Amino acid sequence: MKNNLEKKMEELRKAKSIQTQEKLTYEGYLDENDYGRILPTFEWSIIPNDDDGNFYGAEGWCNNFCDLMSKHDVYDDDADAFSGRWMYFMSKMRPAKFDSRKIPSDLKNTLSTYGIDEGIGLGAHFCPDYQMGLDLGWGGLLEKIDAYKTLNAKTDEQKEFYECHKRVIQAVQGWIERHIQLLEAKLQVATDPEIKLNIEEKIEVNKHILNGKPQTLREVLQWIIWFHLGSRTFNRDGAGGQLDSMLMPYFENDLKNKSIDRDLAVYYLASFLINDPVYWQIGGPDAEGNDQSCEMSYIILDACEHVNSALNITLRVFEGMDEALFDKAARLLIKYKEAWPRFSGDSSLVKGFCKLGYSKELARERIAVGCNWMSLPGKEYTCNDLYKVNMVKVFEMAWNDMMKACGFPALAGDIKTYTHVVKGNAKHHSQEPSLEMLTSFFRERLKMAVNITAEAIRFHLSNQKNNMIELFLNILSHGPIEKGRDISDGGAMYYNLAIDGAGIGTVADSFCAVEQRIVEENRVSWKDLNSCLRTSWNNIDGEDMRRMMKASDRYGSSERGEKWGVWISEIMSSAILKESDATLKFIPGLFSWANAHLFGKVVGATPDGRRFGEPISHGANPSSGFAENGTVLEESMIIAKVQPEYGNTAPLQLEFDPFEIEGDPSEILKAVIKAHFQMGGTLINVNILDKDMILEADKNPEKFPNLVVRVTGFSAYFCMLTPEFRRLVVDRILQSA
Amino acid sequence: MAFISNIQHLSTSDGPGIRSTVFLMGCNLRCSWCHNPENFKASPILSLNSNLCIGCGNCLSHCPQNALSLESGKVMVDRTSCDNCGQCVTYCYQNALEIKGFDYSEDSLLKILLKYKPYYTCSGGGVTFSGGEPLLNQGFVKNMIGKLKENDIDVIIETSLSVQLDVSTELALTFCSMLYVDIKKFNSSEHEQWTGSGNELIIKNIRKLDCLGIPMFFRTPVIPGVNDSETEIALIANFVNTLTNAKGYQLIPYHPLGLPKYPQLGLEAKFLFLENMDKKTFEDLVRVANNVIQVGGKKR
Repeated sequence: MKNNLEKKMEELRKAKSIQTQEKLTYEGYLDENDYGRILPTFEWSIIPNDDDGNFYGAEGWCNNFCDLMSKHDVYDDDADAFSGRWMYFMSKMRPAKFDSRKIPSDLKNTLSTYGIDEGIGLGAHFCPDYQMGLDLGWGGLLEKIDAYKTLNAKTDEQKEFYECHKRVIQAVQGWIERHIQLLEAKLQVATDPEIKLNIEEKIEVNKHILNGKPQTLREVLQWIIWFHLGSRTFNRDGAGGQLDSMLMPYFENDLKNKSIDRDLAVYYLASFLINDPVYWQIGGPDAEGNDQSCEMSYIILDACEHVNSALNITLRVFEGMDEALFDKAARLLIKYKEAWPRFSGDSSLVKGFCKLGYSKELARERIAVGCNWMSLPGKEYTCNDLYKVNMVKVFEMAWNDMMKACGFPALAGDIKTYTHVVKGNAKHHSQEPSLEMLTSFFRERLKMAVNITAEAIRFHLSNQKNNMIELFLNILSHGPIEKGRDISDGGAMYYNLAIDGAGIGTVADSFCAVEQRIVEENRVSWKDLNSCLRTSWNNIDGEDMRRMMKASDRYGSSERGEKWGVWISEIMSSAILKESDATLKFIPGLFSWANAHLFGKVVGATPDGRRFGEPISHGANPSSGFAENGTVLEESMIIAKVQPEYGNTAPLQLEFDPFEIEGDPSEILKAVIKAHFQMGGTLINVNILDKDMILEADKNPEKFPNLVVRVTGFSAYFCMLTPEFRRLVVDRILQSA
Repeated sequence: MAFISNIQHLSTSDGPGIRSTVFLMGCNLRCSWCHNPENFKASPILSLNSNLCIGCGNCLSHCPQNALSLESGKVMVDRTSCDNCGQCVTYCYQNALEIKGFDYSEDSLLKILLKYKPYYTCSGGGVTFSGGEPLLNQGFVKNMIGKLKENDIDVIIETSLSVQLDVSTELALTFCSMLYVDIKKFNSSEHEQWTGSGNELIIKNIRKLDCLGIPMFFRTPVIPGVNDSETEIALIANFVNTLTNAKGYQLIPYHPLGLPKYPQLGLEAKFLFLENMDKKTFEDLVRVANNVIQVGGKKR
């Protein structure tokens, strides 16, 4: 079996490699997760239901999805234990994520002024409860919808709500049926006994789960794949859940029935994981705090070894964990250098979430299901990773407020938009700029940026059901079907909404530089620094000045940097928490996903020596070049210190070079991970460095088609990243090397 | 107080686990091949890395001794005038100028090291004092051992043991999990030829600490033309075999990475061997050492 497994996996890896190359050739760079999507084999375009060329609402989404699925090609690979691949990003094919005409102009303008990365109209970004689907099957889900329709549907809108959910399920069932037909056709011509057997089994599995609830491990995995392929197609949902303990009972049952052995389970899991790099978790505490890792946790890691490609498996690290599982995970990360698995710090996450008034039992259900996403599967609407405050832009505005208040020219930008803040601080007029004034303006600007971000989320919640109803994720959530309301519209049990701050390193460095060079050392005046920033250091002596400011104390390598980093994190968290009310809670995090470049492009030069348009610091990490050497522990420490501490994450993006370690690098890596979590860390994404290979791949990406790197929370094929994104990774690696 | 040239965190070559290696300045040996010449004296020393210097000249006017000048687009240091005050360094934004060596109080050092305690605890690591010769500053090291042990932090000392040890120091060393002791040459006059000092005191100290039950791990930096002979290594290994508390013996291959430091510090390098240690010669010597050495009654 082992030889067969490796042979089959080699075929699947080869096929995936070809598919990746095809995507690169025909679609170009993709600065995102791999998703397991393949190139479309058929033409399809959206069916608008509005004069703006877009489609909206339950019927609009349902009609488009059903049409797409009715035409969607089928896919089956002889080496694969499962059928199906997805091809179209339906949500991305819309001309706009939201009808911007409906966004109040004040809201729109202020969001733009602050450069907020807003997710009005974007869907998914929370986590379904797969167990619900496994317990009911497609047929059971249809029955549930019918039952609640009878109970709740009084109006046409309510009837439509239930009908659309049903039609979505039926569209998936139709697609499954066509796969069964494909398999039956393949069986007619198959000659290899092993392939024939595999096809026969796939037919049996799919026939059984077409309506019935899955009962074997293979059925369960195929069922999840169908849900996921549909959900990905619908709106790119990618949240997984706790995989090991969910699968274990089915595996045990199969063992009892003597229908499986461990090697076969590894093959199923490997086929499952290569289908789509969904964010799954293993290990960690159960509701009572006991370790829930099991044999399936190890099977999943064994399967990962066979896939060894873009994978988003996260191991939950906590005091009572299975040390052997942790050891295995760390060794695999170092052995394969493919950026899997990731690690989450359950103790800090649970403690933080409880600070919002939730129980430990509930907090332990909340897991990392995306880049930086934390979510209660099936219970919570979170808008994870959708709303980010560019704190560097906020700093720039605060700087302008201060300069204007003191009669100096402001930096580039629309000065008029800053007037109301300046008025509110009229007492500063005719004064010299000062650090106190700058921090005061920054605090006020940050509050306003957070407030407008929260406003955007509230607007999103009020309008999302008419924009993009969650016809897929509603099905596996606790509430939407029962209440007859979309999950964005009161259907969820909890509304814990994520707002992330971005650029803490750049802002902390800027405060450091100002405090050190202007206030303490008197080496430069406010006026002269302002002139430098206005010209992006291109004035006379600008470059000398820039070097001086850049050589100031830094976030990550000095006490001064730590002081400012902690202060920024605290005032940001405080501002975000204050937006909460009885029904909506807002949770702070520090994360920038892929925005470090985009955010940098909209901000002028900053006092830390950064030039106009250059990327801002990434996530909670310090800026590149923050220390001369030995950055691993320093990064880990500072990121632990600036954690917002309310159950969402400020991930540590770690570049780890095992060749720099004398002895066993796995032991050192494990210690760094444990220590970071003990100090308050929440999530760790690791790239294992092979500096020379990365540099060579940056020059000639086509020579390294299978090189996977963790860009932020997600992993991606290096060759598919744009040169800008590759630079982001390379810069971090050079910093760490 | 002690002058410290560097604290290297995430050090994995100076004992088990994640360690912070503290390089104390001042050494009473002058090993010709030394790759940490900044630690010769227990005082700050200005380092100038000309490769980083862009000749901006910012530093020139900030030298109270007028010891800096600009030649061919690069800063030069007149070492006869420079008093290593370091004022120029804060005006060098390229980090070409750097002061090696800052004075630390015991508490200020402890404060820094405590920040890293979670890493020590999680890895079975701790703090290693290296140098220079850390035991030249016995008062500081003794007190630091005490303070670190109070905080449940493991301590290792890297030393040549070429110093007269106070009784109280000997007692303090019993609290260390290990001493890493260098034996460079076994013949005392040859030892003196290459390090500036004979090794009688070293051998005496080793025997005495062995009697006190202090675990010691022995190391020999293998230096081409100095001690890269089978006879030499066998001699040292045989000596190690006579000790009750020897926990191991390791050869460390010569590397020339310290050579660029000499001109940066205004010092003259005496041992100009520019190549890494020949791999085969080194492996042969490791084999010799392993054949001879017995630790705890068993051959390694």
